[in-house]
Amino acid sequence: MARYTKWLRNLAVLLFVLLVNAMIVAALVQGFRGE
Amino acid sequence: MPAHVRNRRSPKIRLAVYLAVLVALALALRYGRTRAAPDLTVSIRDIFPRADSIIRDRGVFRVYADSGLLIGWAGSGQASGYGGPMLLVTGIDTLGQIVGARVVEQRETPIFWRMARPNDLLASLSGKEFDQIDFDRGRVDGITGATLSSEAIFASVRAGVVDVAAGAFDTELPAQERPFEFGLLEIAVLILFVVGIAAQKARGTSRQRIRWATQIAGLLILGFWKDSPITLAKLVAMLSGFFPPVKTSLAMYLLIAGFLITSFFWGRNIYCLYACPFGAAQRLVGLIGGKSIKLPQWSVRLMEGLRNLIVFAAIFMAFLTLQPALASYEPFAALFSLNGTTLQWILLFVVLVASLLIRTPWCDFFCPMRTFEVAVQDLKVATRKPQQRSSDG
Repeated sequence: MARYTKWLRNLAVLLFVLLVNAMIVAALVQGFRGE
Repeated sequence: MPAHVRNRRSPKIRLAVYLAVLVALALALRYGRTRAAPDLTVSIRDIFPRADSIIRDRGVFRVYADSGLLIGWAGSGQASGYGGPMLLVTGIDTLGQIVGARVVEQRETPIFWRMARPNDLLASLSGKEFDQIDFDRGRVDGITGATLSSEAIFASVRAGVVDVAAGAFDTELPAQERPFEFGLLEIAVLILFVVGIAAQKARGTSRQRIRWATQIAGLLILGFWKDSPITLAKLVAMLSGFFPPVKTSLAMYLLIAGFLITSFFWGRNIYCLYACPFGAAQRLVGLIGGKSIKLPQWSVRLMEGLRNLIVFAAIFMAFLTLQPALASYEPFAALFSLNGTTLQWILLFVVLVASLLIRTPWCDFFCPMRTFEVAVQDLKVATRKPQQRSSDG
């Protein structure tokens, strides 16, 4: 059970990292495209 | 910076990475700055549709119709906006009335540019006598970026009008003296740094109390009141060689100087710890969330790596296009001026929700200032004498 909790936690952290970074990149692309 | 991060690569590799980054950025800036100058005659023809030939004479443009008749003059003017200089050209007819003005080049953040309402501002000048214009009217107050943009629009038009007045009408328009801005904002910035530096000597609990006090002051003054935290755009504008006038941007110079100097001399810089309004906002949200969770090591490294990569890419693109304002991705304006793109609003929401669980996530993992802070600290390590470095371990 503890192993699955750790996996789930790592997955949530990874999704958070990717989500925020994807939004930052999208915001930059939007800016450079003049939108 | 945590020791594991500082020591994870050998100094030689770090030096090589820094050199490669600097060379790439220098080349991008060089490319950006050597692009062809904009063609003013296109804008002049837009202002005077009957224009046939345009001749530059004594700093102004004489505009002739195809019959050879002089139909007006045009003058170009430059002023410093939020993201760098902007260039406008203004047309004046032979009676001395403004025919129109066009933006030739601007470097503002799209959202601030829209808020400055450039078309409305310029349309309001049409038909006015060149010596009867009130250039202080029409300012967009309250939102720093948009205020700078609207002021720069008028200052650029004024510079063009002054040239035409002198070159075509032999009229010397009075110089527009901007007063030196030293008010509550500038005093507050100085106090925040002085208190922050002094607090380094205080004990744990008092230091924490002082930090809360300065951060809340920063949140109210640098955040909600003036919306003037340090942003990547401001730093990149300076790195691009676009220095805003000291008279009107003293607070920003003080913030950036304080950030760099304290980063160098005090390890983690005083700006981020004691003054940054966005850091304060995250800490306040964190109070609601209670105890923060500890993130796994791999995610910390991943986020730091991605942040550095994104900051590099943003500066590289900003240099290449010579558009510093576009490098900013921080959601500060969304929070402090309630202005932002949909993406910035979502980013703000996600970061603030994350602050409930993770301690100041923006500061530690996404803020471009952190990358600069680390670079300044690395510079400090590199400038130490070898024996000092080895004794540090």
